[in-house]
Amino acid sequence: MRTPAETKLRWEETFKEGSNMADLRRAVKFNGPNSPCAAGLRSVCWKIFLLWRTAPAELWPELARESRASYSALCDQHLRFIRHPALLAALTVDPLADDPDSPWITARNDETVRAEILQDVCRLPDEPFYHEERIQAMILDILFLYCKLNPGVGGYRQGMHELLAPIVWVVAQDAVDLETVATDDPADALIFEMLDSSFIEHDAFALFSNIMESASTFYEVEGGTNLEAQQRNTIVERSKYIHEVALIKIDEELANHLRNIEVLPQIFLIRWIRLLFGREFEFEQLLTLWDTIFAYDPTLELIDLMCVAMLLRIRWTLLEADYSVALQLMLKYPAPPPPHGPYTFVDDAMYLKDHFDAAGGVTLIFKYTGKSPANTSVTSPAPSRTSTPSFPKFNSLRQRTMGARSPLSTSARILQQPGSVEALLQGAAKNMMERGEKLGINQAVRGAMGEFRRNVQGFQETRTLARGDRGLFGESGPSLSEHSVAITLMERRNRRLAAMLDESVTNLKLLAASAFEGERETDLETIEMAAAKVQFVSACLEDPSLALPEEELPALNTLAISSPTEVGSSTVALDTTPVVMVSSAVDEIRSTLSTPDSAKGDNTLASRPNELDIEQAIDEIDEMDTDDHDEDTLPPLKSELTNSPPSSVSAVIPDTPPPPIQREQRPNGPIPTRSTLAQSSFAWMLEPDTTSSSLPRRHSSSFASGRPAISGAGSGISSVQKKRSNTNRERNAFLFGEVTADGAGEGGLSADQIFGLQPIRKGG
Amino acid sequence: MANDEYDFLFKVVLIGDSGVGKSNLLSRFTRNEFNLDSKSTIGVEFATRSIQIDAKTIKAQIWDTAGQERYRAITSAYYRGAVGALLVYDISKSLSFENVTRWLKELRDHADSNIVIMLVGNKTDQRHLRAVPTEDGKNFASENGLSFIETSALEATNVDLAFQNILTSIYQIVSSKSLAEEGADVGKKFDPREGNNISLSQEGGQEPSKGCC
Repeated sequence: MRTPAETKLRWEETFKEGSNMADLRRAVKFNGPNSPCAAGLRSVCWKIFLLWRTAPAELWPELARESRASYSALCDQHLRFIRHPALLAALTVDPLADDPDSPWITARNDETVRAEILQDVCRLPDEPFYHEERIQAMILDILFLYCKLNPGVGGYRQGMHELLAPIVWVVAQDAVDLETVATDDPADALIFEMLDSSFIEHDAFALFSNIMESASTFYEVEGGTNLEAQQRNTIVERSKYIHEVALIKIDEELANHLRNIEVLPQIFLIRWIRLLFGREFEFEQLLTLWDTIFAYDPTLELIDLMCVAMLLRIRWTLLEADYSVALQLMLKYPAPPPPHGPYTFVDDAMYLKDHFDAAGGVTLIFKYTGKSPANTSVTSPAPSRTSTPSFPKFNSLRQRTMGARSPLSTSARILQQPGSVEALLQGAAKNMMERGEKLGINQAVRGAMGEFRRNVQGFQETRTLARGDRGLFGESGPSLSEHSVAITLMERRNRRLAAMLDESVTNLKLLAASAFEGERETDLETIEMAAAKVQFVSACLEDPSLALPEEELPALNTLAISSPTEVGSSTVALDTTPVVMVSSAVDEIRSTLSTPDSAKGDNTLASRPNELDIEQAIDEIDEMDTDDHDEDTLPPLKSELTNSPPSSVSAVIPDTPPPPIQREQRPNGPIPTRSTLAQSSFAWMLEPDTTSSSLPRRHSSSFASGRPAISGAGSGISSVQKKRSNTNRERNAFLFGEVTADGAGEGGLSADQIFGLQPIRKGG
Repeated sequence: MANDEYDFLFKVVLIGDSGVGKSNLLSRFTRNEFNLDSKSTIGVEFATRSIQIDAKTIKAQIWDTAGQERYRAITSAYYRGAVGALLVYDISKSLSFENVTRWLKELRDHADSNIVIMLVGNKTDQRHLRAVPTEDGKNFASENGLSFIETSALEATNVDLAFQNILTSIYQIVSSKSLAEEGADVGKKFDPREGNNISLSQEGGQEPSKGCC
């Protein structure tokens, strides 16, 4: 148990940024390891999020006392005979009487229920804490009482114990033994009273009951006694909703794939949901996830979308997976690599709630995997202009030049090293934040950013609409000359964006160099300004249809060119524009880094407008990485031109949908070659065709390397499918490195190896 | 990968009361592991292991589920396509043996009527606590047309044998059916590199089919 001094310190830490819900929430979300839940008292935060809500701090002790008193009363009522069997024996009731109200009957039934609960309590996860006798007794009593009080739930259900155990742990962690604590300060006394170790059970019960108000539906079984042949379960309905409504809207390709390989969602969702992801993540990460859930979604409404977000993160692996591999993957969900730990699924879910469509899905897939679904037109700036058939010449030309790689491999070649660029920028950002922290200006910046986020969310709709309507280059038929015009325009646009980024970087560096010695407010403005600009640039990079200031948005002119110290209202300026960016700038830059090889390329034709951005982005990043760039914020026009003269890229279609044939066909179902079995009740056994193909094996042998499999899937099954995707990954990683190193990238690999070309044999 | 080259893929389910040791039978058979404090199963777990029978590779896909009796959220998904079932009870808990009848009924209700069922009395290591005599298990099995075995996942007694037996039974049913249809060029369809999926049902699709196009 912690010392009183440490506890006090943690109490202060918890409320460092304020004691109301909003402050705490923000701190939980943005403070990382300094979150009030991690550095402060997690149990107090949870109580505020779940129990005390908006009640002012003065009322907390009173609320705590009330709930503890009511729990004690419940214990007296329901646990009396269990805790004191002698009392039962002293009763004058015949133990063998058939009276259903007989306390003896109740006692025997209670013992059955308790035995059932105990069986699971003894099998809690490995944490030694869970196996302390006193803790197990607490967990047993809490669960038993909960079941007694909520007969509607249908008694104890396996899983509840693992929902409760972390709560008990968290409350016990913060508890203090009042007997060892002596204090004269009444304020301290109140703090210690609220953390009194003799009320761990009481407080844990209150928290658990509150969570179960929403979570009990995860455990409900309907129509248990009805004559219905099949019990209807809310969890099954929920799973169906997640798969057949939510996922289909957000990522239809993945939903269809899961359906085709006949993975029933409830198989894995039952555990994900019932345990609130308790078994899916490592314990510390789980606690952080719960912090975020309780802070932002105390009624657990986002759980469905969190599940969708989890599926999106592994969608590429899932799309390659057959039945066994997919199930294995979802029953052993791969740990999300930092900095996007499990708690970010809550962010994703909130995002998906506001963007409940394919575009929302694409954004998240992009954000975390750097890849965008190749066959969706959502990302393209002008979806109305479509179809490969209208550009036959161009496509055949492109195929020849680019080794006829498939769209799939194109997208697979988008920057494959999530670590590199992102880590760089994030490192820089974190550094800045830490410095700001010391100066006490952090909260203000965060406040401003929060504001910005909110505004941005409001504008998201507008932009989505705008995307559809506004083609960058009008709707006229594409000819080669028009494309070169388009490229020129695009390059100009990119240079201007680069200039904006440059300026921000310069200002931030100046600020860093000045060690914040200037006016605090001015510094703050500079930071805000820079952040706003970076976000603006990232928005422009993501959406080529967004016009730059000089063209359409004079309001932004100030923002783009004026010195940050003179601009006092950057957020206001942004508010007037349809500029939107919710995900971080870094991610967006990453998303544009689609094909590094062609960017430096030897007259390669770019396949998408973004490929030009890449070059831009790479240059930008390069410059951010070095200290010696010019303080002048003019666009680095000359170097741009030498790097890729417009003439070398003679034809680019800004928005070219992928050629249809090259995509590896997903089996729609095993019907053609094995119809009899497919139609039988054993059809599920038919794994997708890809499993047994000999093709993957060949690949894996020719690209075998000592690298361990990246996927976190199970030990028992390893699959050629996974291997192949790893091979792809390695190949791409190699490619990327090669190009940035010396621009050659041909190292001994044949063209189709480089481009990740898969012979088109599936379904043939 | 040996795991991905198989002649037959059999789905086998584990059923029985909570705490009888289903998960440990699974981990003993597929990973040769036993965990005294194994967590209770929530929803479904599954694992695979391939074994050789008659020079054929049989991939067993074994499903394990929560034993809690009221928990039927996944019943149909769980039994769908299962060609074998291990109905497990704990020899030290008579209640788990009494409940075998209910599990059997559930199998009859939800699983394929030709499913091969083996009754398994687990935890023979608990000799001093035995509550169900071996004879009782044997008798119940023969009355109901099930095969029977006693195992200890903890001591690794008979676990492999139990799975091997049930997989062999399934395999024999399947191969006798293919033999019966030898004339209909079934043999050609066997490619050692590609998985064959089997069905025990009478109507349609009983011949091993190719696992790939």
